Amino acid sequence: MNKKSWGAMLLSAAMAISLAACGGTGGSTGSGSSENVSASSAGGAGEWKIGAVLELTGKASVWGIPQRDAIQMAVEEINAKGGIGGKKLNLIVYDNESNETNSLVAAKKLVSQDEVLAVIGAGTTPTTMPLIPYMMKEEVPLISVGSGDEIVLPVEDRKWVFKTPSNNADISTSIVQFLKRQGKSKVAFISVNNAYGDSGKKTFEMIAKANGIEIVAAEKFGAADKDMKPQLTRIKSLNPEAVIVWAIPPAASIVNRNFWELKMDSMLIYSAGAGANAFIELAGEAAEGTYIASGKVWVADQLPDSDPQKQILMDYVKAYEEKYKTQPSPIDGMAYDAALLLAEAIGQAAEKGDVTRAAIRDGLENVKNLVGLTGIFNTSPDNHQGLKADDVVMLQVKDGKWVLAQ
Amino acid sequence: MEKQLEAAVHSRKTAIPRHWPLLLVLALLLLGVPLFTGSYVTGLFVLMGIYVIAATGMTLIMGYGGIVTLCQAAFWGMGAYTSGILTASYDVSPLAALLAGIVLTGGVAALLGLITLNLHGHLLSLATLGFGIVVNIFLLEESELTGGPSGLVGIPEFNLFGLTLASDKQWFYLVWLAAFLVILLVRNLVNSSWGRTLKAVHASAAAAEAMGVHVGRYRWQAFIISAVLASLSGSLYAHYMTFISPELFSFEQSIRYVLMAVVGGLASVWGGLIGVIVVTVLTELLREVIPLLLSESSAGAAETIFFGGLLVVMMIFMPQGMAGGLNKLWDRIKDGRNA
Repeated sequence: MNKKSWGAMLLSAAMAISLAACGGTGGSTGSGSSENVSASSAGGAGEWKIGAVLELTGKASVWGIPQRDAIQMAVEEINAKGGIGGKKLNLIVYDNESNETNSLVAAKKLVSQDEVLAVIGAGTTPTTMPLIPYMMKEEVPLISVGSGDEIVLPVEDRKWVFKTPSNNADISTSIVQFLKRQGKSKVAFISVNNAYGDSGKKTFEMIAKANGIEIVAAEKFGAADKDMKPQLTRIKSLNPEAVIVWAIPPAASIVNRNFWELKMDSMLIYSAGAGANAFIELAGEAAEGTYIASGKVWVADQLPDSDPQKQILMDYVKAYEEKYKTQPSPIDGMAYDAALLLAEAIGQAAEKGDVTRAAIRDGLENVKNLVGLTGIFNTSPDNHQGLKADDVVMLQVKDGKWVLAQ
Repeated sequence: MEKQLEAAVHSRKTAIPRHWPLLLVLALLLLGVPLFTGSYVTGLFVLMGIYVIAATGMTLIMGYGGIVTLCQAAFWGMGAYTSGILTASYDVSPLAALLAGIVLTGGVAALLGLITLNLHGHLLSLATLGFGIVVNIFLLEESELTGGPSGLVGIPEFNLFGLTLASDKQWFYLVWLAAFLVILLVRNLVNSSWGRTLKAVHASAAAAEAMGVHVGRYRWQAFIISAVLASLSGSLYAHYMTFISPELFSFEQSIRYVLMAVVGGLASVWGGLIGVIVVTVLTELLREVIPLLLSESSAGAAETIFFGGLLVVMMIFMPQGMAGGLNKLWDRIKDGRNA
């Protein structure tokens, strides 16, 4: 092989690298930039050190950045009220680049180098799964913001692991009840080809079956796909009464656009994963009439005054908009809840005068009627998630805004 | 390049590396890492050691075999999944599973090689690219076996003759021992008559063929060895992480291995090691620096652009990679001293 062809081959490799750039960012070992939101004292004695591993860059950064902002806001609010048991919270955030390997490396940095009391994160199911064995071994409490039910199940193997997003089972139940109210029984299911879509598919199929709802088609697409018309065309030919989508933006928004372009007239229902502001932004006018089973952050002002969550939701939306000049979403609400749960557990431990990782874990298992943004949390040794199906509401897009579905 | 290759074909090397005092100092420094750092830094080094094994395979096939393969991550994944599935679902001992992974991956590489190695240049690269994508689709769709997109959970820790590797420290020593053994093995391999023939094939396939060398066979063997090393690395990775998912073994990771091999240096067996270190350190540095200069969310894209640019610059100005550059520097120092 001569010199010229060598250069050409390597150049083609270089082009391939830039190709790979379109698919997302490759991660290497390591963890990310750290940011400290801390009390004035930097020392360890006067504060509770907690950590977070989130998707600040990479393909899930649509979630990670608002989640980081929400956690920082929660910590600042708690510190402004004098902290917990007289000590302030010190939050350390690392980026995992939406990469599973980096997620573990970042968690190790928090646990072994920063010696935090507990870790919030990661923000998605695949980036949370590698942390679980490590946190179990090191005995450090982990509160995930990932949606997959397997994060907290089976509970006997998840002694140190908790999560705040609603279980897929609760979201599925909420969707199924809505379908029954609307008199629909023939649906199609389409999901993203990753841990999130996979886990949603399994759960939804089980709950739909138990409630007499027939799934006429189950299609999949890749998280980075740009066109889902082939799958939707197949679904259209089967004439379902509703199409259920388990995906996150931007792919979730593309499904909505394609659905609209194909002039499909069935109901289009999304799981909570689409609950980022980017969803409507990307789907544009195609989103009109689309449903989502989600938390209540978007509709805080439409809730009846009798709703126990109304107060905290209104306060959150106001504070978030003031601080970050942008709209909050249910996705960052889950991260805010994780900070609330952790603060509650540290508070319980501080009352007993013994704030250790083990005491915080015990506290996390003993949360009673904590009103959060995603729902009202009641945890126990056999329930490390603590929400009910009622905490999930159905919303619909009307004039480009989310409203409570009728 | 040709001249250097020619020189390499004719040079005879001793079994012990030329720069052994330097290597000894580096090795001693490396041995101290887990003693003076926490599980975070040690963990980083464990991952680096794992990458070194697969990247060394890449150096062998690209640098000595002269083939750009774009499926190293697929072989890496086959090793990882074979180990993962056999130990998690069938209670096979990790060592046996690791060997099974090597046999399976080597076998698949042999078959793939038989079909494709008569292709040349870009066509061969494209064939390996396609194979990598097929493996990824298999991992995603065969969910009964692989756990599908949700990934494979519950992979037990690695144990060696009854000794379970639980701490990062133990992992560190195992992985780096394996990495150095692999480098030494590859080094002695490329300096053997087999390796010299391989280099001759790379320098000029036509000339080698005229001398009666079966060009295809040598490339084929190098391809299998490279795949086996990827599999070994993948098995270790699976046991270290205890969780794997198809996304880890995608095309992007293959490109990362190409990058590591090119940056490190294709004309030296130490290229893989140097490449992994340089890429890891640069990634860490970039992650600190980019958010200061640009917006936070652009960090990932900027990193990709940086590494793409680096690859082009390296090819133009330092085609021998870092290892070649270091070698030159070493020679210059020595010449200066002798003069």
